[in-house]
Amino acid sequence: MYNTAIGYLQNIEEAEEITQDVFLTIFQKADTFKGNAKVSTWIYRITINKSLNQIEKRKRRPSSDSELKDFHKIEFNHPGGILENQEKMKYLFAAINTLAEKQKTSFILSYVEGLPRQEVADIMKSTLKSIESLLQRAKINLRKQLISVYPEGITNN
Amino acid sequence: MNNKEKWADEVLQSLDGLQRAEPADDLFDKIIAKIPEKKQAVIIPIKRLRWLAAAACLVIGLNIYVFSIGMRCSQQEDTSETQSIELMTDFSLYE
Repeated sequence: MYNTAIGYLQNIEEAEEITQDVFLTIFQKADTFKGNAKVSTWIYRITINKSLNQIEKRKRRPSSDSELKDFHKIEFNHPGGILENQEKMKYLFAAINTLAEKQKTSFILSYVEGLPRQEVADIMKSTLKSIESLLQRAKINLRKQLISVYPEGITNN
Repeated sequence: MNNKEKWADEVLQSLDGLQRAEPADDLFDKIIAKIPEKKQAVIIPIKRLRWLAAAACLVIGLNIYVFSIGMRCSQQEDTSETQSIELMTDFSLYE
């Protein structure tokens, strides 16, 4: 759940807070779990909802210009990234932030969390086909976004 | 494919080999510290209890009132029935 939260929030402190919050919610609401889905699916749903709520809170909070710049700047380093990919991943995570909510969720669960498509479909209460279509659109949009922020002066190997 | 497109594809592939992010070691201790030892009992505020008691009294009172009215009515019906029988006997003129 920490890995999922960090994929959404791209902030270590907030991801830790959300992880704590998810654990507490599981502890408090365990008796309301109906068993219709896998426990892991239920936990993923809680984590995603809390992460999205946290992002909403950020948007509602009156931010100064510098805080807004901080939020949009390309600097997040995923702790699990390979060193040689760190620079490229900064751009990728910044682009992920621009995706629509469902595309973002399907992309994070599939590529950051590494879940099988069917599990992603179960978590998102959707079908395998629509998840594949969401991922396709997410990739197209990410590519467009990346092309638009292409840093001049970079030489491709 | 131009440089921009090539670079975008490379960036998209940068997630290959991504390891799971691990939280700091003390996170588990923080979580344990936050979990209360026992689930707190549900406390109903006194104010709500008063309202519940008042509502219960009102319902019981209304029931008693309706029951007593019903009893009174049935008693009256009994007396009027006997009176009408008496009156009926008064009509038997040809006996």
